[in-house]
Amino acid sequence: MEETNELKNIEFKKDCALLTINPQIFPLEVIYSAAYILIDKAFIVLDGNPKEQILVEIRKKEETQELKKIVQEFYEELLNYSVYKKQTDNNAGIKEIIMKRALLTNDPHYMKLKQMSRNADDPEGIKKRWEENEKDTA
Amino acid sequence: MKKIQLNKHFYSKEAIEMAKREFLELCYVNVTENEKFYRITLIPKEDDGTNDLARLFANFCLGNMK
Repeated sequence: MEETNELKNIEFKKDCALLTINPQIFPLEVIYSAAYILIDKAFIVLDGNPKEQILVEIRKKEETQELKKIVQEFYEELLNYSVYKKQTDNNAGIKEIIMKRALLTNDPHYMKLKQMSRNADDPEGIKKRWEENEKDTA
Repeated sequence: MKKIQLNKHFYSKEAIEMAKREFLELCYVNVTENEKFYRITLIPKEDDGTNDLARLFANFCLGNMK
């Protein structure tokens, strides 16, 4: 029994399937993540060249398992992790800004600078609190 | 005796060493390498009829890569 899919990137054999993956579409880290999800269900071996073509051998652990289902699940996981990675990459800049801001909030040096800039913006003391003004005039 | 070879592009030495430690109770593990592959030989301490020891070892290595 040997068959392939329409795209000819999956080759089904008796107990295993050979998948050919383009690393430009699914990067290696995504493949690791997808494989990690399935190591309880199947035996997975990676081979090939991570820059040109990655080969994934998926072999069922038990006779009763359906190989096509496992392969389908693997592709679904590939897509899941690709989307996740893309979103993470897109939000990386924003995350960094938020983290920096959070870490700077309680930094004494930053607080001092902030205070100084606040004073510099308000030479006539208009932004001063009402209570503080009352104290000054008393 | 079970043998398997793992591509160096995809499996790190650390991952294999970790898997080796986990398998020490089950079998004797010998790792050699050439330019492209790590060659792993597994000799079960007790023959419990496990045919897929080598593939199981590969799975452990893959799990350690994450």
